[in-house]
Amino acid sequence: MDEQLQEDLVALAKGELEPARQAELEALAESDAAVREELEQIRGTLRAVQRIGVVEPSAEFRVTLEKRIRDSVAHKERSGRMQRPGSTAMRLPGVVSPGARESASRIDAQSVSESARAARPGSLSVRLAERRETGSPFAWLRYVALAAAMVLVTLTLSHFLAFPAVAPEHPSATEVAMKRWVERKDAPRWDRVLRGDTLELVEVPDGTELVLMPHLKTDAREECLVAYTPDQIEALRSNPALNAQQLEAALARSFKATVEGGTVALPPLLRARHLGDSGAPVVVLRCPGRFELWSEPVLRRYLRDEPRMEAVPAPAADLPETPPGVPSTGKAPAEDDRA
Amino acid sequence: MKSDPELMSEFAQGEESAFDKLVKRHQVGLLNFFFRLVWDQTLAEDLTQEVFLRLYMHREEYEPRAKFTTYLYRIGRNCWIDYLRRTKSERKVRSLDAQDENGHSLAEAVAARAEDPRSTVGKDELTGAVVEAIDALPEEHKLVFILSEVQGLKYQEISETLNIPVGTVKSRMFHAVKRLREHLGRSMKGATGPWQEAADESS
Repeated sequence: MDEQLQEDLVALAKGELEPARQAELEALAESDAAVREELEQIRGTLRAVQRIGVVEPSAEFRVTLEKRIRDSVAHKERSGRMQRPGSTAMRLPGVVSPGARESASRIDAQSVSESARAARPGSLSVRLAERRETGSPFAWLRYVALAAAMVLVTLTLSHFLAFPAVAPEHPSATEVAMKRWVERKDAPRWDRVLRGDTLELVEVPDGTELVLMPHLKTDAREECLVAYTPDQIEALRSNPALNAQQLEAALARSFKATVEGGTVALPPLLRARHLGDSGAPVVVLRCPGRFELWSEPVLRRYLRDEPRMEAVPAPAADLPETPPGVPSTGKAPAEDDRA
Repeated sequence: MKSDPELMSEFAQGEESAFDKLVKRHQVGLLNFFFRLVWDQTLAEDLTQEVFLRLYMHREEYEPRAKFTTYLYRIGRNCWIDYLRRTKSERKVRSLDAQDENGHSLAEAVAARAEDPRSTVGKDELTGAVVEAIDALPEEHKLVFILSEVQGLKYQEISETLNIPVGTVKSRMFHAVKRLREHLGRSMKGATGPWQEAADESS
């Protein structure tokens, strides 16, 4: 049965269809036994779910909620007090408020009496007192130096925070690498991290036979798989820029996997050979015309170590996105799929 | 009876009793939403309290443009995502047969909460299969399914709650029902079709 029809039958069972479509499907169910059976199956499934009873809150629910609210409010109030300007927490060692500086200067200047100035007009104390009164002509240098120091500290910190991959065991290295990847406008879209042997592809119709083959144009071809739908394979075959002989040779060595229930079970041997054992994380990239499965450590290594990755230029508007790991060759991206 | 937005408005102006009314009105729905995600009442209560706590602490941020339920379940979804992130490393697949400290399995615990106290063995088996089937759904399908089937939210409301197009809601709902059918069919195979009988019985 057509998937669109099945989707509409679920919506019909849920009362979510527009009146016209609802009437149409109800008439169809009257006349077509298969549709009627399908609708009954859907309704039966929904009824079965209703067998799970309603859970009522326990007696402690409200008491615990009120306590949590009280604790949170108290915590917020404490935090608010700590952050008030002028509070003890805000008086950091080594920081002098502008008001305090002015008043200190005023006292110092006043402490050098008028008579002392008259008696020793060129003395150091008089000159310092005069400078405090008038202000140093190079006072702004202090602010420049302070700003430069802050910029330096910020840059140093951001360097270490933005490139945590220098420590491969850092737990968030993958996330940071993914973020950097996604921020690149020409990058394929990161989709998810897969940890089992099953790839979810709910948008690909059931029964579709996917072609799985190693990535053809990366140094890590043994650790990256590409999944094509038959339509995409046909598109590759009809692409005159591709070497047809090499493409067919690669296809002959490829594996097939069928989409069932919105998922694809990766052949265990293929996964073990190219992507590590079933527990090893695999990054799924959604690319124009295909999905790419990368061994997570390999992708991370590419993002961290591969200098060419940073040099990949933004593609022209009429060209598809550049596949990952492809050096900036200037060739049409379609060629990158060539063996 | 005052509407949810009216109560929120009063609460934002300092009327604490309005918050109590909102809790009373929505606690069972939220609790059951989380219960079907975690199958653990204590944890479900904890997550429900977290939603109300966030509602309390951010009362000024509510704008009555969207339906209150949508707003509430959006907080619920965020709490659920936070929970998943927090427990990513420690979560593991729970077996229906795994027993708790009292020697009860998850399937038994859920069946014991069923509305009908006259639960038969066959019905418990079906309930267990339903729990297992819902648990096996991918998270995004599960959220859509529970919001629709358990909370009774319309596709449009689910779309606003999860911030996804209505078409995606429809598609996910279809895939969820399809997977549930397949799972129930497999689980109850050879048991002389009690899930089908049970379905007929409750119709």
